Amino acid sequence: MSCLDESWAQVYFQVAILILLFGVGIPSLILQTIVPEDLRRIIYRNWGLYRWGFILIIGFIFIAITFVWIIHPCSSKQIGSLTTTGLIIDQWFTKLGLNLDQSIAGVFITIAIVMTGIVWVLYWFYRGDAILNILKRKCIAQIKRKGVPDERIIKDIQYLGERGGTGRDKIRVLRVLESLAENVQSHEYYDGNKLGNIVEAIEFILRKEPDYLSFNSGLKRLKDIVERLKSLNFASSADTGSVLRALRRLGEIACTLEEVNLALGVLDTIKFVCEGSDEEYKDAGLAFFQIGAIALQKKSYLVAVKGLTQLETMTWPKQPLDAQSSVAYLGLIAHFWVRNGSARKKALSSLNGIEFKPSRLQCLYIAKEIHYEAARFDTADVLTKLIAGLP
Amino acid sequence: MKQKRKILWVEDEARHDMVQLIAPVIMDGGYDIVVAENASDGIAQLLQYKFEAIIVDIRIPPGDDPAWIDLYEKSGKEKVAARLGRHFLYTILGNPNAKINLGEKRPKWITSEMIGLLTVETDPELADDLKALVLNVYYQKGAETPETILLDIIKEINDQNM
Repeated sequence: MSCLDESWAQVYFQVAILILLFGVGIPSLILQTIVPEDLRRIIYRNWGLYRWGFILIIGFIFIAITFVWIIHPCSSKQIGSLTTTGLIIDQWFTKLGLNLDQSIAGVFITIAIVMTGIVWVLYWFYRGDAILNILKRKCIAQIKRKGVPDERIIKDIQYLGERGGTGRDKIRVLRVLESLAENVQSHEYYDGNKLGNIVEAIEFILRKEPDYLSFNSGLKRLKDIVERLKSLNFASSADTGSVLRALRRLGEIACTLEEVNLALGVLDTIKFVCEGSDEEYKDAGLAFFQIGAIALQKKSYLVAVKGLTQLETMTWPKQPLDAQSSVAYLGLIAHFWVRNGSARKKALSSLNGIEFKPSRLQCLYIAKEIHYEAARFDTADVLTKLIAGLP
Repeated sequence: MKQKRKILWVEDEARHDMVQLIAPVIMDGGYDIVVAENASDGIAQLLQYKFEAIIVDIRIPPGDDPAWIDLYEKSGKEKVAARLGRHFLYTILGNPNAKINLGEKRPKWITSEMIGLLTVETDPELADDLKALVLNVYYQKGAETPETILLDIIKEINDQNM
């Protein structure tokens, strides 16, 4: 048989195609089976993450060529001369005294080992944290260039966090988001209004099946963001507002789920955010009011009283309270009042300790109007009852 | 209404098993209680705000400050063995035995008289520390702990400082 006749060329071609199909097909199969659906979605959306796939395909082309080279008829006739070609594998075969068939078997074993290696590489490469690190690096690179995070990457990271189960996975994602926030905040272009996406991502991750560990970790991240805002003299900024609104919604969810410990954590964090920033008084007050009102509805009285206490602490330096400053406080007091019994007693004892200007009654009327205009009809209604029932 | 007195409670179970102890403090109306669930958070709070009473548990986790994590790992990697609350007290009081030193950052307003201990450790276990740190307000927590214990400790600290 000549070295390169038609039938051998056909064999080469078939073998090469077969190996290529394996090379492309098996990694895809592995991707389908060992990589969870949520990670696959991120991989498909990020072209850069395919690079290992390309490396693998090129590797398989190389294996295909090596394979053809080894089973080449000339090599079977001239095994001795092949040892001088420099191919290590030939030297091994010769040293082991193997013939062509054994060489082919060896090649198959080699392929099996390579495949195992590929499965391992793919498994490690497409783990959640590996992908998270790639996204983080990409996002930091953009932040360094432009001072703002890539919205699409933040969405992908958020997606990983939302579907990352509970505990450690979520915490890992939250840490990455905080690290991105830190990069944005330390950039020279930072103006106190660039963290909306990151704060929203943290909020959405925490809203999904909240557990104490990750929820607490998320609150800590938000707190750290605000701490940096304060140190950068952006205590009152769009980003602080985003954090406060996110906290308010998280507090509402915690109350709705009747998770007292989560709700108490949110109240403490809101207090931290608004401390030292008079401009955030209104947003923070609204947050305490809404969380407190939902807590009352759910009979989580400890949370409700804590919310009221925070409002009292906030309003104390502003006494005598004017109508605008007392809207949230009076709204929550009215919700306590209509519950009769002990709740009413608490409302009265709190109300009697606060001074108003021009008068308590006038502040109550204005608070009622403001709540009505904001479509908080239940609060407007309980204020009507409070006005009618006050001695 | 009087201005609320700021209280720090360093206790990792404060929002869980021991949440009922907060209620009497809030209902009293005179206090603004802040919870720190670990040593790092406790230090962060003390560096930022001035408190009138500090109540500390002995078995607290380290939080995310590497120095506290390091100390925790060197001391046994679990709350019972590490007893970070002791180190926390030595640190905030600037005691020479402190393993973590805040240096110039240590708030000078912190004194032994404003500190109370609420912990499962028994008196003899803590006798040396209580003596070294000149701590007088100590209560042991257990199944029979009354719900007003936290408020009682705060009041005792107040009386001590009057």
